Amino acid sequence: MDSRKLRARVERLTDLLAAPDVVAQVREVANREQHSAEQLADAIMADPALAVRVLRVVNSGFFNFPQPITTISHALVMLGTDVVKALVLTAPVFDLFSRVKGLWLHSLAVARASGALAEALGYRDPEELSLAGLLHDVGKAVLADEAPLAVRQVQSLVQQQKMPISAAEQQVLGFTHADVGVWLLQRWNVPVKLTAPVGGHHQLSTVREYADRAAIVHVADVLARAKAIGDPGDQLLPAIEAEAWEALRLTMDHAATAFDALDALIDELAQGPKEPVWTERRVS
Amino acid sequence: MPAVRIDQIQVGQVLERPVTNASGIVLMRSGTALTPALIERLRDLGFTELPIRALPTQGADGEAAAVEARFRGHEHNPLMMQLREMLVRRSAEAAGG
Repeated sequence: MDSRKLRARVERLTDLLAAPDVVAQVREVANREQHSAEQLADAIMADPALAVRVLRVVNSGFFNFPQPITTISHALVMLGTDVVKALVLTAPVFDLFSRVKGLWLHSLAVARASGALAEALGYRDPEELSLAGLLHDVGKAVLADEAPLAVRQVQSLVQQQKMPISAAEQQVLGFTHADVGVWLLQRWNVPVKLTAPVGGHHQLSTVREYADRAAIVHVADVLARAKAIGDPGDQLLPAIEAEAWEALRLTMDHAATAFDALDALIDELAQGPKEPVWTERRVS
Repeated sequence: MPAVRIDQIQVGQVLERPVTNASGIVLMRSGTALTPALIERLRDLGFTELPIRALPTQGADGEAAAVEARFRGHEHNPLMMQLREMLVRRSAEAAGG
């Protein structure tokens, strides 16, 4: 398929999915010079369905919190306004993940490993890295929805030629899931610190801003694949890029911390699916 | 890679892939050595066959073999080999402890 045509389709999809009024309202409040968390929470809760979706993602297991987060105000405190705002903007896309078997699980694993690495490296906002990890393969979900025939061709190249999924996408489509993810998120004005890791997790040399964050998600992706959690679309383990490892000053201790987080995720999942927790009274 | 009918599985055989439910949630990890109780539970959940490793191996050894297979092709990359060793060691420790 012609790249421009598919890009137009992705952008149309993003417009269809967006919850226009509330999101605009949330953005308006967030852009005010001085806004309180309370105002932001009120703006989000003006659409209870949206609030539920946000909380459902928050409680899906991509942050490592022992207790469920049951209100938007609670989420704002625990995750910070940037993460909650980004979740408001991207809430509709999470429904698409279920179209690709194993993708959600892989994304959860990369989210947890990214968060663990960021925390071990002393980042003040590890939750932002968790979210970047959760979204890093969002383009695969969009492609499955918008270009199912091309995705089938990609899958047969992956299986028959043992090709990495990005290379197969490049050959069939002329672009990759990373490009699609960035088109979608940029269209929704998701900040660059979140889109850079999505666009660059396979091609770190192309990342200009927030290269460190792209490097973290790249390393987390390899570690999650090494543990074989979920299905990233191919079974080929890529090597960690040496420059990324060195630029972040990573050690095997950091890797061990990330593996601890992944083992914890495996144990949680073995105990049953994570149920979204929400009660009407507490949200409204 | 063979899927083995659940009534032909022998105790101690090891899952080659994770067993997941319809929504992709892992019910049992890859590398799990099957006990009578685990087989029974999966049967109760409606599973008729399970992905079993071709060679019956036990616990940590099986996990180690899976890790080594995953890292094939990276033998000349020192960082990747360190990660591989770490995973093999961790699976042995998990099985021992």
